[in-house]
Amino acid sequence: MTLPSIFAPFKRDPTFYPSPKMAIRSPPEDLAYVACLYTGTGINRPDFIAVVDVNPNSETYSKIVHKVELPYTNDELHHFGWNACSSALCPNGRPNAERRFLIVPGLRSSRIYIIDTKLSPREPNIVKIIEPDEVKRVTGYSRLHTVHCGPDAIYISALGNDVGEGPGGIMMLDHYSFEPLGKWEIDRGDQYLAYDFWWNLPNEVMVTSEWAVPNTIENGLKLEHLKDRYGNRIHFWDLRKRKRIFTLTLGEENRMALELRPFHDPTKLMGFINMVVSLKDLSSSIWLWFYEDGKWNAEKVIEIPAEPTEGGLPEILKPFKAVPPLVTDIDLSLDDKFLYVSLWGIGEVRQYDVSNPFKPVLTGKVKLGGIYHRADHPAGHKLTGAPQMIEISRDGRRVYVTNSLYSTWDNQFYPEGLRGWMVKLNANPEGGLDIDKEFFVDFGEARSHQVRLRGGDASSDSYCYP
Amino acid sequence: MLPLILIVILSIGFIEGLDPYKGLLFSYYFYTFNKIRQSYLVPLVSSLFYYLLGSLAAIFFSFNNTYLVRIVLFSLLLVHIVIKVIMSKVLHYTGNMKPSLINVVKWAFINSIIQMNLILFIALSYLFKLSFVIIILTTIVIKEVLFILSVKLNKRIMLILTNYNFDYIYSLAVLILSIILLL
Repeated sequence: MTLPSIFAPFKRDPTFYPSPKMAIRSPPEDLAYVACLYTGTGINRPDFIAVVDVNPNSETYSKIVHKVELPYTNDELHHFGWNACSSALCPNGRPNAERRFLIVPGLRSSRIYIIDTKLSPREPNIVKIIEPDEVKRVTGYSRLHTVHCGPDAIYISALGNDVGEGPGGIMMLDHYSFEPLGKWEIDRGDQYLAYDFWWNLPNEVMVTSEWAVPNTIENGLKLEHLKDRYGNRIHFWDLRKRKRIFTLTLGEENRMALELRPFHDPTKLMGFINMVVSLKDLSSSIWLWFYEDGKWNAEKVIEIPAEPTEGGLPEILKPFKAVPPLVTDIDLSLDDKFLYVSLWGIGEVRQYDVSNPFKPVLTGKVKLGGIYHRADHPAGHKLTGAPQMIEISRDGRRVYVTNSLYSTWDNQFYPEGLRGWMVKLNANPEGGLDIDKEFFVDFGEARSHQVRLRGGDASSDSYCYP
Repeated sequence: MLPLILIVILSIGFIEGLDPYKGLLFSYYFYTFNKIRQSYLVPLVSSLFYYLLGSLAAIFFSFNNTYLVRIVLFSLLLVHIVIKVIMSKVLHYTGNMKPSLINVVKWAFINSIIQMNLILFIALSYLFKLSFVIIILTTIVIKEVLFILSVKLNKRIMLILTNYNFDYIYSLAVLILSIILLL
């Protein structure tokens, strides 16, 4: 395992774009990297990053062309990201960075793998491993989640401290050596729970969300914990001073404030977040957070109710006699026009037109798996689980969906077993969504989580220009 | 010799002006945040403060025309090139992201120290005392023209310019300068 040369390339990375508008016109993706895990399946094999051919003109289209096998078991791959992205083109960004390495943390192990995709994009290889002890020793954090490429470092969120309690927060990795640099926060106030984060770079604002501490979630969802161990707030931070400046509670009855999707246009200081479940009626909701008249606000803009049913419910849902929608992921297209929403409980992907972000309009939906729909793929493939992680191509025409949420929770909600799959949806630029019958990836006994597209996608890059 | 020296000085000014990280990206940044007037001031402010130390050094340093001085300046330029080529990844101050001219001033001044561009200006002043004026004026004009073209005509100019690592082109021009210094 060797790190690459110290010389910066003469040609700058062609996958960096100053603005999302320019990135939309970039060439279509040819490869997808997918986090696949055996953790929780009962199979004692290491997790892997699958390389999937997504070029329709290729002979191996819709096939796994390579697996980057990890050397350890039970990492629980989850989210991952790039070492550098379009934020390098911020006026004060790192001029010589290149999108080359995937930063792949283990959510359960807290180990970080650095995977080089440049020398052989179809057969990337591990070039560095940062052991969990090193992460905990330097940062005091563990259970690593979201990865974002900042202009000055690589940022990774962590769900908890070194013993699995709070506070969770954000750690930084050096851009070039990938060594952990330390804790990011200087003044966190009463922030305790952590999950996702993103930012608006020109306005120097970071936003963070709340799930729960590792000791609460790792052995499965316990209903009695929902009352007071799961978060429902978002925190706004001064990115430069590393100080929390404001906190908003997104409905007292809601729990699990997960994915943060700020507008890609950096002149718009707003974004969306999904609240997974309401204690009142099991509904899910999506909130718009925004900065107006000198203060932070949030407004519920989408509410999706639970579907009453009694048949086929897993043990954990039987007392409710209903299937909650479980909106566990959302993703915003690069033109900030369409918000995609996965309903992991019911089994749907929805497309909302958010041209007016205060009044989203449902413009399309497809049914895939789910406790409620139990819908199979139109090409006849049996679908276990339901749509979970969503990734959108830069041009917004293609949406890739995988089906695993979190190993122990998968087992509770889909006790019949969950085989990993990846489905492609075709998105109409005018609105509308349908399932691509030609594309289906079966990961077998392994489960699939986040997808990253080579060259960048709708949730990988941050931009400084509109 | 003087025409050759002038060509090299103008070339360095031209290359520095073309480097989008030294002006164009900042100008466009201000422009997109509706700070139109400041966006046109960025080329002036960034150039003045990026070359401030070098200009002062050029004004206050004076050398005798000896072979030893030439060898020392030649060596300094070579070190400058080597550091630029192998350490350009880390020789960079990111600074504050907010679009304000004060941040441009800080960014330009601190990066000029980190990247030791005053070595270039000392060497140039040895060849031609007022070379720093030519370089500063050239970069300001190039940055301004590029920005106007980018905004008024085609943003693609910016996309093309961000494709290249100008550190290498700059290093090549400085290498030519160092050879001239020895001649």
